[in-house]
Amino acid sequence: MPKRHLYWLVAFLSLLSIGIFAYKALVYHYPLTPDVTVKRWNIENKISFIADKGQAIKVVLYMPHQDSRFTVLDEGFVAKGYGISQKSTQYGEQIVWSTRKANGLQTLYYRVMIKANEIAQTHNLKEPPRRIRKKLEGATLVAVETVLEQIYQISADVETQVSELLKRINQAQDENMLFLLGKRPSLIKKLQVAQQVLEQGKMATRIVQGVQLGNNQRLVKPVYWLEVFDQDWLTFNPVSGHQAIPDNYLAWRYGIGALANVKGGQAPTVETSITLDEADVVSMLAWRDKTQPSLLYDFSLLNLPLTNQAVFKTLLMIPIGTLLLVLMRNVIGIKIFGTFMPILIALAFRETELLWGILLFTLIVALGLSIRFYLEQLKLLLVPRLASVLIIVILLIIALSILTHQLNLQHGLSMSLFPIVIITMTIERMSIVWEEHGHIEALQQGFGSLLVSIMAYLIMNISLLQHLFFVFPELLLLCLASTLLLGRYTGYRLLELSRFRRLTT
Amino acid sequence: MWRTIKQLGTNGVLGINKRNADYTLRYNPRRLYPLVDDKLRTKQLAKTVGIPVPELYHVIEFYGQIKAVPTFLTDYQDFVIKPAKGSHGDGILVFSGQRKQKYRKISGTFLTQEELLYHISNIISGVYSLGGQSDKAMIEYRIEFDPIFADISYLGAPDIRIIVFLGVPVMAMVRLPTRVSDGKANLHQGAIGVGLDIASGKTLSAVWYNEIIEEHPDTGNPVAGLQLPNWNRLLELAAQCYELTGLGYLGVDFVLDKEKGPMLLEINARPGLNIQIANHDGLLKRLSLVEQQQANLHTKAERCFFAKTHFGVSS
Repeated sequence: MPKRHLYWLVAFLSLLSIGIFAYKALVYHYPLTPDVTVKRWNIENKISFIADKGQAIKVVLYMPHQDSRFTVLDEGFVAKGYGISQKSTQYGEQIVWSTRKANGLQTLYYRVMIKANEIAQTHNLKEPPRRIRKKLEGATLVAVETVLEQIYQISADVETQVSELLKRINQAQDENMLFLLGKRPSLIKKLQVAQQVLEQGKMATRIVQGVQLGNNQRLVKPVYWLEVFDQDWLTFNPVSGHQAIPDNYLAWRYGIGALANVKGGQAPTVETSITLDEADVVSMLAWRDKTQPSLLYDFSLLNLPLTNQAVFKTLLMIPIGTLLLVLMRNVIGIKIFGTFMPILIALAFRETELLWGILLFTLIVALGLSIRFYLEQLKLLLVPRLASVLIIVILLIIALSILTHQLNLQHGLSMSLFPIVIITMTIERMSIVWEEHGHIEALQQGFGSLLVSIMAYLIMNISLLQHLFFVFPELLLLCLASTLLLGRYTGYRLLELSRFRRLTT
Repeated sequence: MWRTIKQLGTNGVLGINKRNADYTLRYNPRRLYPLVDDKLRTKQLAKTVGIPVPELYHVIEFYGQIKAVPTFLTDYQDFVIKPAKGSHGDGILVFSGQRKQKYRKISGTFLTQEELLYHISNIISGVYSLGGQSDKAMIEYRIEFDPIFADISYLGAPDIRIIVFLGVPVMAMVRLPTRVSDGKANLHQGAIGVGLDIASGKTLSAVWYNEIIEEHPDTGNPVAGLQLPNWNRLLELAAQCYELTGLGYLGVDFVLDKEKGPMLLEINARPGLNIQIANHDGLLKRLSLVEQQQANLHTKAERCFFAKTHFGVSS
């Protein structure tokens, strides 16, 4: 097959790999480093009431807005014996529980898990919303008109107008303002006055009820803010008068009505509690994010059960090790025993930790080798001899484990994970090379194998690489492309330079 | 480092990656490998076209046959035991006599009957074969070496390696055993590699462990300037191996017998690159010349003539 064919294939694989990688990283913000965490709030609404006997029950609860600032990760409803439906109203999204018959104390739960989005997108409404306006009369009308006139004179646009109004409401020095607010006005009253004045000025407004997402909270009190329409909805903090509300305000419903409504029940109470946890981004990706295309999610490793994920985390590192192995053999020219032996040893090192791994591996191979030399004198046939060495390797591992345990060295126990068969084959190959080509050659190949194992372990243990390959498994295609390319590497091996140094003159 | 790479490139030194990718993988079809990987098949094949080979005495294929070996061997004083699928000369034992159930190796040490039979069983189980597949043990004629090499070899068998590309002998060397190499003709194990002039069949410079030497380290005799007998015949035999096997890139190993002349020992489909060090020359230029002229080279004679005119030292 022509070389050009290979280059096309390699280019295709690389582009595909980098393309998917870039798409996921740039468009869907898949995390590039393992240490990124995201705040995640679990909000629980508990509604309890005593059911009226023989009455049909209907419970209405508003659900938080999924707007540009927050994404709902998960929702759950717990209510035994209730039918559930959802509906959209001008005040927000509602969940409706209903049942024909219920007795005694009823408790319903609504749980939602949300996360804050890093970048809030603006949503432009092309048409302004319908204006709902009450007709004002008498003294109220005069007072409102006066206030409107005053703030109009000293403002430039909608934003400054609203800010000025809120400032005046909070200071409440003006007579007209005092009249409108009444004595000791509540925040809700203040908001209502602001709405009254602005609507008289032909502006669309709405009061938003929501919660402030903080740390863990029980019995959360609602917060309110004002929104005024000027091409898009502008938010205003009623206390400070500034445009824009704190980042952690989560909108729940419009208007000042209750969050929940119970028909057919007595003494209803609504308790809202919030818990905050920080999840690493990788596990966050596992939550089906509605902004993610389902294809990305369905075909992702994150969708697998956690135990399988752990297996894949290891499995995905093997190609990195093999790439290194190919480099070491075909570009550097290091001689090793067995094709993939260093990779398996490197995997075992992950369990034993490096220094212990090297020590134990060397010890087992050295002891095994000396016993193999003794067996040589018994003139055994090949397969029984290999089997005997295998059994001896297992015995050695057991003996070393018990010994290290007695010496209170924890790491000794982990060596049971050494690839026993591979070690046996290594011992056999090494003894043959030792006899046929001398101990120098045998030790050279032995150290070569150990060196590549250590390097494979070090590279396979880089947590950034582990993370990247797990979140972006398409990088395997890049790995494959590089390996394919190395398959046609026809240049000199590094060690050949010294081998052929006589031929440079 | 870059200078070394550039220098090696200008001198046309063939590296192992390039040999594999551009020569063995391209010119040696995988299905033909068994012809040369099994020395028994090579031997049979060579016989059909009249290429001389060391006479085969006996083949041991199964463990059950091992018991009969001592009885069979009573007729022979000189013989060689080798694995049919061995590589790098591994597992080859050369004997030059026997006495009281003990076999004298060429190095002078003795092997007990038990040890000999154990060695055969090891060969059969595939200890020396590529990939550990089961193997056959061959017992064959021990070469009576041509005295030409007597002054410059120690114990074992000097052999002649000729690289044949598309039927053209491109480079050749003689491998001389030393005391260090334990009588083996393997450069890795300490044998001496002596380059050969393709045009004349005379020995050139010699290499021992990557060092250029003038004299044999054991005998002290000069190694250069020795004329090999029957050189034209050797070249033709080597060239013939192309048609014989169908493999484009070959290493053909010959030995010179005192009476029977050149004999084919084995054919290697992945010949080593040390021959370049022995000849103090790279292979690449010669290989590309053959690739260019491929269309004009048909007969054995044409190819040998081409080799002698283009690859000789003086040319």
